[in-house]
Amino acid sequence: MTANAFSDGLASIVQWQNQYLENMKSLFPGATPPRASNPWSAMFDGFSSGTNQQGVANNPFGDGLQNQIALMMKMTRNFTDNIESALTAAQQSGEQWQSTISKSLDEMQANFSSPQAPGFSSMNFSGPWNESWMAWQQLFNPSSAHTSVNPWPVNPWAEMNPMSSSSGFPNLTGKWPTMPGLGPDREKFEKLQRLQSLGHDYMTASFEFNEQYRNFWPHIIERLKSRIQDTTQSSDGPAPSARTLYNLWIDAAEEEYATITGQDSYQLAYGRMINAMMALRQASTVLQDDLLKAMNIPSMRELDTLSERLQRTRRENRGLRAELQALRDEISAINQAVSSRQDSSTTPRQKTSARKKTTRTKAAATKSV
Amino acid sequence: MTVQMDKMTQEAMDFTRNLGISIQNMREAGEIDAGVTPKTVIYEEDKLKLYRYQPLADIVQNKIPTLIVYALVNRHYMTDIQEDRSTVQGLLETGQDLYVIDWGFPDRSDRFLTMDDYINGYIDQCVDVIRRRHKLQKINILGICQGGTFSLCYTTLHADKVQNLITMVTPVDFHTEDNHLTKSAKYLDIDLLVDTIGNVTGDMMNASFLAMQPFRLMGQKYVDAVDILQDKNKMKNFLRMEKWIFDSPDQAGETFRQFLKDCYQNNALVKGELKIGGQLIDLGTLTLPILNIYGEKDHLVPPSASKALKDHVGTRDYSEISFNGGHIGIYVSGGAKKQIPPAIGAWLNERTAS
Repeated sequence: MTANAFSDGLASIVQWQNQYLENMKSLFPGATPPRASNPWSAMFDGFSSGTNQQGVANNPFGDGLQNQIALMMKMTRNFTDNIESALTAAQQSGEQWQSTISKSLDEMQANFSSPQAPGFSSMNFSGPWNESWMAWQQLFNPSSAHTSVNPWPVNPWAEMNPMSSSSGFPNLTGKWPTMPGLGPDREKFEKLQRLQSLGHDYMTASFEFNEQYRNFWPHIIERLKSRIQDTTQSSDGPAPSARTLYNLWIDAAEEEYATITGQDSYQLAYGRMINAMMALRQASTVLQDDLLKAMNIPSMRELDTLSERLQRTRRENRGLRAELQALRDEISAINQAVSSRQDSSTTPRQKTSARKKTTRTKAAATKSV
Repeated sequence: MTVQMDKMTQEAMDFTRNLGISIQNMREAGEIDAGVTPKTVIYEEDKLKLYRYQPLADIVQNKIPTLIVYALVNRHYMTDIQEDRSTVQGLLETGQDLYVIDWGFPDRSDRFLTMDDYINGYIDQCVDVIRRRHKLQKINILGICQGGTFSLCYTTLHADKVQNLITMVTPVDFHTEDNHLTKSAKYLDIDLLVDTIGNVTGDMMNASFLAMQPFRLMGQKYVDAVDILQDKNKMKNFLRMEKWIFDSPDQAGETFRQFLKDCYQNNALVKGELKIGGQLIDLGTLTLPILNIYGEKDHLVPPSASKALKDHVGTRDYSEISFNGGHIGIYVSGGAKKQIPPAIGAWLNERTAS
């Protein structure tokens, strides 16, 4: 960073944070915390290291969610990097800060407008939804000797992630056999073919989903520029703070995001992506169940059957309990009616013996129930 | 107008200081507690626990107890997250005798729990337990969010057991224009989803909620947190909320299936087509006193979705409270504590025969 008070301030934060990360490293010798270069990203590193988010590694969905939060923090870092260098440049050259920021935003917009631009591919709003993709990759990874169902020596899907694809959807026609199988492994072969086909559907749907965000970044920056202009024109006070600029960026991003996600075409693409993912996962589960069966381990299908039967039994028990209670209430009402009838037609002495008798009857009834 | 570098520098230095103290505080935070009011387990069934909150001494008690039915999403302690922001505390102060259902964490063995099991099974059982304890024919119910929808269904089916009904941030009409959750579920094949994954995980639910406002909820929130984490009390409050947000039980698959298909996709509740345990839910049969509370800035259950209740119930004693806040703020903000529990308490006390 160059010598100006703003950058120096940021540098001291980074220095402090790196010290913190070093401390973390000494606490967890196996861990390799990243070096902080920007306070915003380092803040997140601090949060995640300190709270040991590695614990979610066994939960691909939670991991995806965590990555999504990390992505948001990285975007903050990128944004503040740009703002910071614009402000530094403005101070050095004596320029108006608005024009410097505007120039910087123009450059960002130009970068984001190109599909090949760095940053475009990092935009991945389906992070948590990658779970099925990852599970499927694992299932087809020939090096996973114990879990792979892939009979072929290669994984045709390796290195292809439609979630971050930026250069068009790959043509995969002919990448896997489509001819019906023969012989004892015919059924298994058919399941694998189905899995491959569903994988292709999922990749297509995922690509179409990501396409919804194609002009996302340029539009955000357009909105941001307009907001900065509005702020500049409407305010007679001092220049806005870095936080104000950040908040304007968030407002612009949320506004654009709401515009995209509010469209029916987006909802349709989202629905198709999730449905394709579920179909793929269902087909994967069938093969996983076959593997479990081979290892003499209860399959998901078997567990579901048991759970369903159990729930049916619980429901029946509930009904029986209700009937039992109704019968108890009925008996109690009858006893009360008998008791009051006897009360009204007997002498005090007779009443006492009748009450005793009723109590015995009640006890007997409860016992027999 | 020019850049005021001295101010920018000050901002950076403030941020440095706050961040340093924040991280130090985070390291010393210790266990994050939530749910502050003393309570006792009254009844247990499967993973469910029915609690009774300890009533406050020296306060005249409302003779009719109130059962809080929380959503299956997240945990019931939202209403009692900390002492100075507890809806439960506020209600106890008005003399209410409170019970709450803790649904627990459903696992794979609970996959086939249906809305019928929850409503005619668990809720009904809890209501009966309370009725027996208090020797009463009817009790009050306070349903929250999805728990409010369940409470409406329950009251329709068991009107003889409910004296007064309060619904908070409760979706009723799922097809209002501003309901973004409905839009995101529009093209989902729910049958395929549930058949495939069984229970819907808490992480999936969280992803859906965070996706409503991803920049604010996953970015801005944590940047803004640096401003408050330097204060140990505020940090604890923040971490309690974080705990609540991500302390998310899975959703029993069959319940999720019916709730999403019937309510979100087909809007069956207001159409009078929703069936629970084979019985149609007709909101028009509800003639008991109803208090409906909604948040004006609720982005999960928009006011329009809640306010629709008025047009579908048969009662002449219908009241509304509009709160200037969101889905969560209605329980945890300082403003809510002052407005909502006293209003509920007064409404209940007015309607309870002495």
